[in-house]
Amino acid sequence: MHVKKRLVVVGAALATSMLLTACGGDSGTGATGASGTYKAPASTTQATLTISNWGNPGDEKIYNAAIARFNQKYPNVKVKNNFTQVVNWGDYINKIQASIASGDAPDIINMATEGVEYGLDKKLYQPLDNYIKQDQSVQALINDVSPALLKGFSKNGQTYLLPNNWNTMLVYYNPALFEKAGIQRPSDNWTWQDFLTTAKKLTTNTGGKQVYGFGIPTYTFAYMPWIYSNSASTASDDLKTPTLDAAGTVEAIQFIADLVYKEKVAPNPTGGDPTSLFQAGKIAMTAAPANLAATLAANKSFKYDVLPMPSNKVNTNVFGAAGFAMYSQSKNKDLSWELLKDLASQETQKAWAASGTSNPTTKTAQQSPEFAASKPHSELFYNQIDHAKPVAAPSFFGSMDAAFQKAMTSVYAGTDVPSALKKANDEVKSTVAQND
Amino acid sequence: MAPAGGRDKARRRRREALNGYLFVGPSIIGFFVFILGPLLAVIYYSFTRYDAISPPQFRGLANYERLFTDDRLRQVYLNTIIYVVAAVVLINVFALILAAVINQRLPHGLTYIFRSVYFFPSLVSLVYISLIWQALFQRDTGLVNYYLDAVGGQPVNWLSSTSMSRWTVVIVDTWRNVGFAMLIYVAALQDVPKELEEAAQLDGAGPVTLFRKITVPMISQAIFFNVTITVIGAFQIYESVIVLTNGGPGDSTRSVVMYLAEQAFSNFQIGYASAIAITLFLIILGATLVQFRIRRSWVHYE
Repeated sequence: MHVKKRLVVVGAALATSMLLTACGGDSGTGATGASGTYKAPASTTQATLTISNWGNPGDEKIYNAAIARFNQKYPNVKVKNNFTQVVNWGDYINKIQASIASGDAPDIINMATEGVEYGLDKKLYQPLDNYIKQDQSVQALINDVSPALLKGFSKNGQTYLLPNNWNTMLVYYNPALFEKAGIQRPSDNWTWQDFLTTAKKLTTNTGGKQVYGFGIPTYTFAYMPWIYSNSASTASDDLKTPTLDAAGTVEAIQFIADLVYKEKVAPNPTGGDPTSLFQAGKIAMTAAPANLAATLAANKSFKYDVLPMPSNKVNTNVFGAAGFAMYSQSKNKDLSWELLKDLASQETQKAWAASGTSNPTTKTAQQSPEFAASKPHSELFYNQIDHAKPVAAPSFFGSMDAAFQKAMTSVYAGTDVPSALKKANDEVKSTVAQND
Repeated sequence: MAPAGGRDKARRRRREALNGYLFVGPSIIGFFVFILGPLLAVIYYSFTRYDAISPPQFRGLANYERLFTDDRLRQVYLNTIIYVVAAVVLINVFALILAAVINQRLPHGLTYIFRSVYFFPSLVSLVYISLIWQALFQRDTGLVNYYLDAVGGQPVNWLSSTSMSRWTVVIVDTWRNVGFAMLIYVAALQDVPKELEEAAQLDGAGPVTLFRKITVPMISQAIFFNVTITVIGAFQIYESVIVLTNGGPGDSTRSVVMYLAEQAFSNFQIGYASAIAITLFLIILGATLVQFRIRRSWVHYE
């Protein structure tokens, strides 16, 4: 019954929003930089700017600091920071879509690789080139960022997002359990076979205390390194069709499922969150982005180390980068540009380096002592970008993510991998076909 | 004098009418804005393709044609019908048993305690209840399996097995809703005249006959009310499944409402989701009409 009510409220909101947008027409504070010669708005400007923002717990203070810097220049501008944690990208995109539909569109959108293509498809982003061209500080910032990270932020020669932070996957391991099993730290270019051998040695059951070699993280991003290093992907190169049932993808997921069913070196992930099992010493290895390092930094008594993901056919990894875009229909474009610059500044980058829930994008911040202080082998956190590929994010990422996740729950309930992935792929295909 | 009095009367009547409209105004406006308006919007959207950003495009019956080729829709309707049947049977049987127990001549305090204990789950937000049950039903760390293990049983995969998880949802749904139905039955049982029961006993009726011939007809209105409410509620099951299993593994616990929410808000196919909503609306409407129709044959009014 509650749901019906909720749908009803959304429906009513949509209906009223249409009425409101029909009689709107606020002129705003201009958009001189969108095409012409940029002139910064006067510091006395009064306006309200809205940010559609996301992040890990604790990230909010980094954004609040950036907003405070902006407010020193523009004390009369109220900034609404709509901050949420992202559990799945479909929900986050939906939130933006709903806010636009209800006439409460954001001026600035923090978007990660997973949703960039979707936003381009819906023409949500303002091209920023004319702004960047006229601002040397932004050019200097961009020159400080690895070109691989920037690539996903532009399309057809237009830049749409300024870099914020990024993430990749690493293997986290418990050195004490390695020592107990008599294993040395594997080399950085270890293979799936090396990984399996290591996991087997680490899987022990002494005196009723079961320790597993590996704990499987179950979000889509965490499967990507396995799929990519098997020369496969979840979508075709042109991002037009899903390839969840391609031979290489099936083989990579089969390798993961075998860790549970055949090799028995990993607990069934339905049993619990691998990061807590890892800290409890019940699994010797898991895989995670930088946010696990930030969590573990608070747990001083727990010692851990990191390794690159093992490779199979190719040595690669996954990355996802987040950037700030300006909403193409914003009424305060010039003002948004000023806020955008503070959000994506070198100061913000330094804050990422120190807090570590995500990696900073500028080389200056990555190589700063603050970044190295909080984690072991800190270079592994950022040098992955040299060989990593962006997470495959077609415009139908939301549907693909949901179907893939659903297929994985079937796999962990005992369905065989090829048929679970085939079913998921067919579902995504039929959804995509309906969108044309 | 007379015409003036007539004017007075007319004015008073007008004022009374105005007051009346003012009193019902909020609910009438609420009905138009929150119920009728969205319902008409959903009917309209069901004939369009609509992604919430671009304007809707008219597509005729395309969404309705798609209903018949959608394998997932068949699966989620099957799940939902299992929920409905299980909810009607289990909730009403358990509620009636509990109500009969409470209606015995127990000490007043004890009746009070039992009634509160069983009704309590209905007062707590469904999401909290589901979160607690989810923790209890964990395979390796859950309390349920801990006690199963303690009495020598095998651990059960309550939430992540294709065959079991659907019944886990049914268990939580029953546990949550049995108290409300029980309360209705207790009230109805208390209204059964003692003289009738005593007269039947004097005529030699045993407990079973007594229950079938006296109690059931006397509380048939309550049974009808409870069955109707549980059918409508079970067709709309959503929050508990989201928290417990998120529809998985695969689609094995997904309900129709979850599926239409997924189509609308993660695939942004609001047109198709509207068409599914219309089917659910018609089915619930149909089921309720059938119940009202057959009511005449078995529900007794004094």
